[in-house]
Amino acid sequence: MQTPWEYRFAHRTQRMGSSVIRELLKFTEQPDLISFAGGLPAPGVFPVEKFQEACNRVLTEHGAQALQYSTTEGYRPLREMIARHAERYKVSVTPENILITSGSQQALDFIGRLFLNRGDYIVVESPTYLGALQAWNAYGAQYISVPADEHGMIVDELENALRVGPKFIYVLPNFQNPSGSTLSLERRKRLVTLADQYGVPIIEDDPYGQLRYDGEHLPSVVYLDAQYRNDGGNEYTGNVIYLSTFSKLLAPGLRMAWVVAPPKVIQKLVMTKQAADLHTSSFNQYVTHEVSKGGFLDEHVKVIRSVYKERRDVMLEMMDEMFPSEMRWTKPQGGMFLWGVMPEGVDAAEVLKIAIERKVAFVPGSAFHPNGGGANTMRLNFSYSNPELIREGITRLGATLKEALKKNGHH
Amino acid sequence: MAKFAKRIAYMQSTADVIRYLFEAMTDPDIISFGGGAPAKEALPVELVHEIANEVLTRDQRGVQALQYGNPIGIPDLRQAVIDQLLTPKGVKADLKNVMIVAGGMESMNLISQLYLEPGDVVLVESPTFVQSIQIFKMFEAQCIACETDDNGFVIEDLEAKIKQYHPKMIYVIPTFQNPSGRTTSLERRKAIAELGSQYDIVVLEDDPYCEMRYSGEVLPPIKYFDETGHTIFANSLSKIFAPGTRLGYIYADEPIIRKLYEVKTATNSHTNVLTQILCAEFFKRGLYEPHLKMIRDIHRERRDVMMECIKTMFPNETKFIYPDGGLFTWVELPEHVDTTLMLENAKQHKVAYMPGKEFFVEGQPIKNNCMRISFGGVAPDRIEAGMKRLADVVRLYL
Repeated sequence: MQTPWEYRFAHRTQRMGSSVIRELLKFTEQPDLISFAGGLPAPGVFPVEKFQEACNRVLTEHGAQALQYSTTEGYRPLREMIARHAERYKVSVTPENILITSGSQQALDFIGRLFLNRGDYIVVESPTYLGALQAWNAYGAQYISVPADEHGMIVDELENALRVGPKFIYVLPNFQNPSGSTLSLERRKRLVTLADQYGVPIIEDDPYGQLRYDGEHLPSVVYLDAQYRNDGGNEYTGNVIYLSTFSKLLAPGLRMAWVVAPPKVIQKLVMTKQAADLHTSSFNQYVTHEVSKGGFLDEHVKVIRSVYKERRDVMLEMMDEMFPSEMRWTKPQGGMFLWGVMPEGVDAAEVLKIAIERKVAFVPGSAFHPNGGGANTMRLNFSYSNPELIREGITRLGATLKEALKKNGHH
Repeated sequence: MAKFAKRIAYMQSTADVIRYLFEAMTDPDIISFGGGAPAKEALPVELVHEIANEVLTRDQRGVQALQYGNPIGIPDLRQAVIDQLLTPKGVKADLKNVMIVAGGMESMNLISQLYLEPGDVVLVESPTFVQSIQIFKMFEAQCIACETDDNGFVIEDLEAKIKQYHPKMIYVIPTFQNPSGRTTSLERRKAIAELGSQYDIVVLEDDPYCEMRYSGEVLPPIKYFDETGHTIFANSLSKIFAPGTRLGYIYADEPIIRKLYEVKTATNSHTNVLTQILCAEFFKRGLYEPHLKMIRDIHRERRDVMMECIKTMFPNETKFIYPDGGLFTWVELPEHVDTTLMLENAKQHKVAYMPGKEFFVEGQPIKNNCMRISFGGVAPDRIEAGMKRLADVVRLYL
């Protein structure tokens, strides 16, 4: 008997489908194609030598512990280090506020598992991060999209969404993936207040916060929430679950990320992790701690900033020169992405087909809109390709766009 | 905070027991037979050190180790799994059939994501591995236990329950089962595969201990007898490489692996690349065979010491399983002894074990008089000392 697999899989997997990103990652494997599609850090900046040194040290000093089972919460010195780091940004947290996860995607999955019953609503920015939608689709989530501009979610429109009774609000306040926009301070404060008034928790996803190339660091939503509550104690007990990761600062291949949340939530997340992968690789936790300690992480982040800043500048400069005048795009102050908007009626997916023939790729923006729309938008990554490739790639893309717009009756 | 989803309530009680066992692990005065860790003496610290030193350079695999990876795993580790772990079992696999996961447990998580709807029935052994049950229940499945004896599932009862419950899945640990140490016989392996095909049920074969055989004859996996693709073979690399690296693999028909690719992407993107590379190199350099021999020698000695202790120190009424491999034995005390209550007393005597009650689910009688005793993580002299303590505790209850 031939098994009809498609009728056997659970309903939740039907919304997984083959993702746009997955299809696109295939293109990036063509050697002569310049891809602005992925979200990869530049491999040239990986501190390979430092890692090798750290592996040596860990295996000499803690070999048996690093290769053995460990606790679900995560390696304590690493959690202590993260807590100290948060302290710098004036968020008072203890290791009891912190869970180490196997990448931020796992944290998003756990949050879905922990909070979502089938049909629950989540408030998201439009556009929003695709990986979060992938994680929560599996739990039968529905989305309320709040429009965003260059200052992030338009918080004035949030109140209507909160009246629906959503399970939580999901925001990426710094250099958002995909748009590159940053939530303004005023809007952050208003977000905290409104969320509190309506009793709706906030998931603050902050993978890029430290990758700021100009402008001033803005306080995180979790910090503003603690301040709003006058939460001066040791432990954070507020309304925000904060996610961040070592993927963009050190290396994504390690799958090392963390969650900051009230201890009550951390305890439940720990139980969720026990029933998922038991714990994050002990070895990777020891190595990440070894690499990061003694100020290396701070030094390294400076290097990344200078490399990515140059790439962003080159990309923006080239776009000014090469892109059709009808196009608009964001000018992110940090992160890895910027967001292009073509005139209404131009379909980015169609443009992509031509672009691929010209050996350049991007992600069509519609995938980032859970409730439709955004067909004329695109996400461009500027962190992965070096300046020379960015120049060539934007030249190719500019020509593609001009041609596509002309076809659609623009000049 | 917002209310947690309903599925979370199922998880509380088991979490408490696990927490205690972790505590026992870190207290040097307690001799713990409660955990499921293999011997720390068997960890390949030197080998990993050597490999890391050689390959984690910029011109070798240093950049690959740090960059994003593929949800299905790195090709050379998958190939090593095929060549050195699957092919010797007599099964035919190629790269499209094998996926790397983050430890053995993650297979249960991903496969539950893939198959289980709320209310679906999963048939399990009695007793069975609690943490897997916890995962199935979190996906709101109903777990029904079937009768087992020293040869695994009693096939008549399994088939009767299939007819009664129309299950989505059968969950089985066929070799040196956790917690009982029992091994499913050859005939029954064949029968389970056939039941899966005949009744269109997924057979989830969880076989993390199969390589750790110290005596007796090697048996082919259930997957070997599967002619329709209904059996999914899940395994861990924790026991034969290093638990702290969180590596395991799934071997299944291609359409399943293809869909698991998407499930894995949504769940945690991919398994960390760094330890995948270290493990792939471990296999490729021919280090696995000699290392496995060492692992077997260490654990065989521990098993033998443990068996001797039970025979000589425990009361005559004690029944126990003689495992041909793995990490566990299962001890059955006289019926009136409640091993969950006895654990309090064991704590005072500085010895720990896993109360048997934890391993039973609905469908079969819960036995309060059993315990799982792990010999894997305890050195032989500590096994003797610990079993003496445990025998003293047991005697108090007779």
